[in-house]
Amino acid sequence: MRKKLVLILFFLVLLPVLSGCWDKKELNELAILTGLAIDQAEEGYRVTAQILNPAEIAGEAQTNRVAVSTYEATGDSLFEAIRKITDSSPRKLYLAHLRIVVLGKQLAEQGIEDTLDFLSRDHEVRTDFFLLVSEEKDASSILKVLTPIDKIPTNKLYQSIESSQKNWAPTLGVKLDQLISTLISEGNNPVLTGVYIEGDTEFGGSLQNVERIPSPSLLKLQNLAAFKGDKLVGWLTESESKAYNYLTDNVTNTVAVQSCTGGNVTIEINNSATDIKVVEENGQPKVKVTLTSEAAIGEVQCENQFLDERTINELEASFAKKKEKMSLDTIETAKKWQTDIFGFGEKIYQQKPKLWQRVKENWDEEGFVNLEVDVKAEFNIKRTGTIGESFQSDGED
Amino acid sequence: MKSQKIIISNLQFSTLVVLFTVGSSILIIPRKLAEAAEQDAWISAILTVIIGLVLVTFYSKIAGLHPDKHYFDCVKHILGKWLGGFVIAITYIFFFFLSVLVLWNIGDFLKTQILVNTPITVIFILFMMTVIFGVRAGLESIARSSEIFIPWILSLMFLTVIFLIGSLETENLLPVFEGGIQSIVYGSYYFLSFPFLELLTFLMITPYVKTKKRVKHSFMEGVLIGGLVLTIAITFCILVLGADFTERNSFPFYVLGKKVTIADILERVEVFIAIIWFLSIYFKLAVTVYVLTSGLQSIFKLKDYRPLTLPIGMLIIVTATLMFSTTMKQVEFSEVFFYPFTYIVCLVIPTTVYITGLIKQKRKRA
Repeated sequence: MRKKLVLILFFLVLLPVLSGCWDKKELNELAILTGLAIDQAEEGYRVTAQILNPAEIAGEAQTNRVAVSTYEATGDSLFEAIRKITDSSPRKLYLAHLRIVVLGKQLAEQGIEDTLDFLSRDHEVRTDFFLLVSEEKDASSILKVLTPIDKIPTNKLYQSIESSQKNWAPTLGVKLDQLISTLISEGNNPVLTGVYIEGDTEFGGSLQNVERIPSPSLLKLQNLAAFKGDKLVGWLTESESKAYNYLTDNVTNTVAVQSCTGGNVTIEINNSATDIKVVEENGQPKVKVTLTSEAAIGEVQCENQFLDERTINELEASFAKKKEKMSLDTIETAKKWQTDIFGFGEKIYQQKPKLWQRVKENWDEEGFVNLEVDVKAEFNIKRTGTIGESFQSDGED
Repeated sequence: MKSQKIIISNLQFSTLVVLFTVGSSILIIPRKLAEAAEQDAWISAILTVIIGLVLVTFYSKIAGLHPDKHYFDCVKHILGKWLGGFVIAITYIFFFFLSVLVLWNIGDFLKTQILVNTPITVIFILFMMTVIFGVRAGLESIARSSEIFIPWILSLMFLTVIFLIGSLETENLLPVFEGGIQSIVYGSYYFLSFPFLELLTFLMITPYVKTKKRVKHSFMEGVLIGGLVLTIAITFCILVLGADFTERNSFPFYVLGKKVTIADILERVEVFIAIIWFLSIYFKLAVTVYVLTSGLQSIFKLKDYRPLTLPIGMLIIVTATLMFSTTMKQVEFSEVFFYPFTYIVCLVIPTTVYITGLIKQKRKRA
């Protein structure tokens, strides 16, 4: 009997210890961080944190307060700055729900490697957030815009990245681990999607911004920023960004336009595959890229255009030619910046490791710039949509 | 002391071998292998599992010399009192450090990834308490509960793998054979000693297995399944994260769990992997602590091993806290001391014991 009592007592003592409360984090003590903007300060970093206002998102009686707030702090290191935010924020930041990190333009030009160390070392931060480069002067302004439809602006950005990558193509969602892998790799350089504010920045942070049907200021994703190593060197244009995504096999679905007599013809590309082959010619690498796309006619405005076998073949050829030119132009742009953002060097390493050992020295400045790249595009237009001939061509005039 | 006779079934023996193989290795070895063999780590892994199977056949042969005696008795019988005693002492030290390292691994993992503010000693004490509880319940209970938990571990592993199939990038494996056979063998050097050579521990348990003729069979079964799980873990780390990123993370397989996203619904399943680890490492530690206590019992010819569990458990906790005050110290200890030590204790010594044993047997017959 006594033994039993002792045992029961023992378990009772054990109970509070076993629940692991040492590291407890009560929900009402946490500030859930969803977005982080990192800017260069005179010394160190200026960090802007976007934090959820839980009552406004999940509370039953929603007031007309904003759903998120931002706090800023400056510190010598990123970690210090983030901890310093507790000066102004009511609660300690919880980093596991981070969705977006916006890097300031100036910071990106100086180099981003130092910022990434903290993000990959801290135990709370996961790898599943997107990194963007701000086209605005300071990245913090990006986090100070309210968005319609989605109450949480960073969530909006996150979903925009995903959907525009899936359906439009000139953007690319880059997550932390991808970015680090491309940074480490000798024959590859990263790109990040740019983000900017369209319209009146003054309205952005107030509720007025979401009270009108066309919001006065909007967050927009645009184009890709090319890096050399960890430094921003230039911005690709929209068509270049798209070509970049073709070359790196990131296109899932997009549209392509080609002019014809009387207007344009647009096709929807619903399947694209990129094949990169490395061959050795006179001891130098040569890259052969084959782009195959499967497409369907999406819109026809042409006169006298009959969609028969012959015209479709012509269309395919003209689209292919346009894409080849676009790709080569983009490669030229990158060569001008001396940065191998396409990862051709990595492909050489993967396919011809011995050759790579010979050419990897100064790859970006010499090897890549002098690299011969062959691009061959192929289109397969398989369907014409729900109608055959366009009714325009039957018009009687 | 109720009954002296401890019997575990062959299936239970296999499951214990599986858990022992998986335990603590699954989170750490992908990094080690990627460091050594880069993207060829998977080749290295497959090679090592094959070597591991051969090794286990050899271990079963040692067990077969004297099926009713455990390793310590066997050594004493073959090498005599003094030399045998020396070998037993060294092996005992090995088992002890093995337990310390296993306990340290779980503490280090929890401290870095989950319970950052909790003192590591508290984690040690709590984990050790459950282990001691299990060991006091006896080998049969440990074996039986391993049977219960193995389906969980295997199915969680299976689920994680299925979830990750979408994010595989086969290009991460290229170029194959870049570092040549040398780096692959170098990878095997680590992988073989951790965990396969450590399976020597099981020679202390073989006498309790029900069907002794099939010990070899069960042993190989266990190693095959455990090795397969580890090989899959390593290959997936390389395929999903790439060799570079695998190398850079302390616990790559845990990071792998963070990568799972299925339709935005199924996310953050890294706890699956933590569960796999907790369970498998529990059994690994339970087996080593059991061997430590029952080994000591047989050395000093005590009646019962149970009174020893608490002091030995405390000793392990204290050693783990004092010896490895930092992560860097532990890494250096393993690198400089423990890997070579494992090869001596688990490969060189058993080979000597086996050869001497064979010669003695032949002489007897002649």
